Amino acid sequence: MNYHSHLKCRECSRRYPIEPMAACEECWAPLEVVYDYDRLRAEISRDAIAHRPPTMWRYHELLPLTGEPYVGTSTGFTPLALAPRLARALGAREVYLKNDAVNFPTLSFKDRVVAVALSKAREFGFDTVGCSSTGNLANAVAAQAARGGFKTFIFVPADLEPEKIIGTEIYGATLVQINGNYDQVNRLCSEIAQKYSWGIVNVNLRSYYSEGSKTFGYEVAEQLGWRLPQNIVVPMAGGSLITKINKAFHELRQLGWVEPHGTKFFGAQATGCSPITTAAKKGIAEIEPQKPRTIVKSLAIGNPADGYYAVKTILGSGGAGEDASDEEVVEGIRLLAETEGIFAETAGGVAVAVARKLIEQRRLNPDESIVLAITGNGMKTLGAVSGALRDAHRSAAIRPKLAEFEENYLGLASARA
Amino acid sequence: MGKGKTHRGPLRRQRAKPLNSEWQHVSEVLLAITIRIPPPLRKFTGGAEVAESDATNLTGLFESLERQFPGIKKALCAEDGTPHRFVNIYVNDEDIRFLGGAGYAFEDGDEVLLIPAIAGGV
Repeated sequence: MNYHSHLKCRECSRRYPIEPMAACEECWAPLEVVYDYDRLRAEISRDAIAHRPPTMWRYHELLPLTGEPYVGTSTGFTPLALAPRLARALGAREVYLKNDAVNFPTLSFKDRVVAVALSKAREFGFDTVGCSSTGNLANAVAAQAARGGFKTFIFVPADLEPEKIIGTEIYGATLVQINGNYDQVNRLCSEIAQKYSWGIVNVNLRSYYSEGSKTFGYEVAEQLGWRLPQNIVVPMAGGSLITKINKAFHELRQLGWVEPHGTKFFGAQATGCSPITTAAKKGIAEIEPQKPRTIVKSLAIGNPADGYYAVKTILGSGGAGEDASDEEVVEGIRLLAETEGIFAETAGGVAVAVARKLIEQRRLNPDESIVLAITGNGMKTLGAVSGALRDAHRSAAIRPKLAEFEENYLGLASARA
Repeated sequence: MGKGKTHRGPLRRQRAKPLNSEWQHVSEVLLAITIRIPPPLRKFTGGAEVAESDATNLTGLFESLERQFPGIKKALCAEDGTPHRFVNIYVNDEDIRFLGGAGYAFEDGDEVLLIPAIAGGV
């Protein structure tokens, strides 16, 4: 039962059939999958969805597959947890964490987009797939391509975190490390996509891939009891996730599954790579590219393809863009871990740090519900926090003596003397 | 993030500098720059993957391509030469916006790449 019918250019509205395509042939703008919402509203209900298995595929009618998913069948439906201790630390009342740090199989929200992209690659008949990546996408494509039996080429900047390099090569993917930043990797990948008939998930499968991000938004709404949050803070790299969560919320309103209240979108970046928040602060949608300089490598995209739409989403919702320094990001990661027991990667630190700033500035209302998008797992970016933790160590290792433990850690030296 | 022309491709050749009055008409010396044509634009070029131009700047490049391949300009830029939002232009591996954009003066041997924006990250 399919509800998607065609692709449509976001700018000139030109229609294309469901095929692998990178962009509109006329104006090069991104292509959106179009669904028959009238028929969806008539035939699918919230109750029907409630009885389905807890994966992202419970919303399969709103995803662009013709058949059953081929890979990532267990992906999604990650926890949405109330975070009272973090809320107290931030001075807010009602904070939720949408925790894709425990997404399956590779511990980031990218598992969602790849599950759709590679299932679609299978439908299109590709035997070779690939991507350009800042790390998480590489892991997700490598793992799910192994599961699906695809040949795989993955292109990454050579200076990625070692965890993300190992977490790609382990699956047998051909990893191509490039001396350059992500935007340069992307450019090469685009040339390769033009020359070879491969399914490159973020190039010629982009329209399908990005639809997977919508499930993050559907889940937030369903887990809140079919209610949209008043505010959501989303880390941004290329700007696709925030745009697609907005599309998801819009679709849910259109289907009548949630009240038509608006959600304010807050976009978060690292100060060292902040082309989208810089534009949002100026109140304009035109993006000036930057050369990334930040420890937040998963967000280090200086020329964000969906930046224009991300800014429009933010400004159109009454939200704001804000960025955090590398030091603030590390503090954010530690605060989240110490208050809620969730170890997020650097992008999660960006979300927490930016939420803190926005609340302090009173641009984010602490009396309203706030969802923080935690998109990846801290075990993948250990180097970002190891230095700060080393500095925090109180003393060197001790001998296995009770007295030394009490002296060094309980301050009981004098009591035993 | 300066606008210096620091990212030079291996094939770049230095433009001859005017040494004396004989060279005052240097702007008339024909440059040769290479443009790599992506698949969506090859319908204009009869399938050709590479084009050449003697344009000295971006606006001139669009005009030059239009002369060679009628209809192609509209796919790349507005009437006044402002590139479309989703068209990325690279010169010798560097985004032309880091080189000064429309103000960048092409040099002999420059290689220009035109590609659509690409998604990714997080």
